[in-house]
Amino acid sequence: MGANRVVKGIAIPNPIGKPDEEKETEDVIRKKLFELALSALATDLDEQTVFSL
Amino acid sequence: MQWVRESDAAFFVAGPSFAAGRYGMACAVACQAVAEKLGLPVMAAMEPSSPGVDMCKRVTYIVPTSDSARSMREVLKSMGQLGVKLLRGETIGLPHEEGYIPRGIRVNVTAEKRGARRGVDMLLKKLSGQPYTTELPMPVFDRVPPAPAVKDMRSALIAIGTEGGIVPKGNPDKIEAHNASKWCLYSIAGMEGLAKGEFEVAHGGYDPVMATENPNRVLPLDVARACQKESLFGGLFDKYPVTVGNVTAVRSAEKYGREMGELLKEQGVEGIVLTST
Repeated sequence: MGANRVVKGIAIPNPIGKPDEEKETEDVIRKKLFELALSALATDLDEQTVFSL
Repeated sequence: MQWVRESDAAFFVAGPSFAAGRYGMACAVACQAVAEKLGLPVMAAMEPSSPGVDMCKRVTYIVPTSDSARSMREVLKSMGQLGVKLLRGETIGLPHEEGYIPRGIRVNVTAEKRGARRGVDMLLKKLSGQPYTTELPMPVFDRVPPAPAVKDMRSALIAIGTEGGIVPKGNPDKIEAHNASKWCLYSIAGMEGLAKGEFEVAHGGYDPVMATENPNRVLPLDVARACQKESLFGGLFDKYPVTVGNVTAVRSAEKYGREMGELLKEQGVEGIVLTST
């Protein structure tokens, strides 16, 4: 779409959630996704870039 | 695709998707694939600002619709009329004659008056304040160049926000579930995470069960705090911007985005992690 820094989320109702996992596992994945978002913010780029775990 | 090929179809219709974003995109992808790979005539029906329109209009006859499925009956009638012509292989006229969204394809037509005459007539009307119709509407390009990267993340003030409609219980400012007329800013000061039962989902376009159980799955305050504690960034802005991105008019979305950005910038925020549903 229009966003330039896009982190691939998990699913529509839970972009940064993984309810089918145990809470501990879910929280680890969620934190990794957030860290990826932070690194996307700190990345210079010219065009739309998708970041995935 | 295989299913369409095997069905020996002569014609492909997707939608009507009205103003739906994800459904419109899905229709657009399907129409493009069928038109380009199978060479079948394809048709859809979308609200003109749907993201699916620009994606597939060159190869698809898209009947323009309102943003509400209440007009289903009229839309199906228009689709039927145009569809029959397509099936019969009849020549399809200009968009405003046949009722489809202009595809951006130039067609040569013979006019009564030559171009110079038409141009001068138009100018005279414009100068005297009379209504006139342009022959060439200027395209609106909406490409936002990427913002420069955050220079020093360790000292940066970062915000989180969402279009997933995560709002305080009771939706105090009544953000609409569909075609939101506003965005809001709510405090997360002193919160380590979004507590179950204190927040709800105002967005009417996705299954709210997962986010109601744990609102951090849409607005990740808990992991943001965890990263803050590890000094992965300088500070977390103590409020979050929120709206509902469900059938939001593009003009509204642009306005809210601009306003959110200006406010955050004024407050010294250098970057925002925005979630989308």
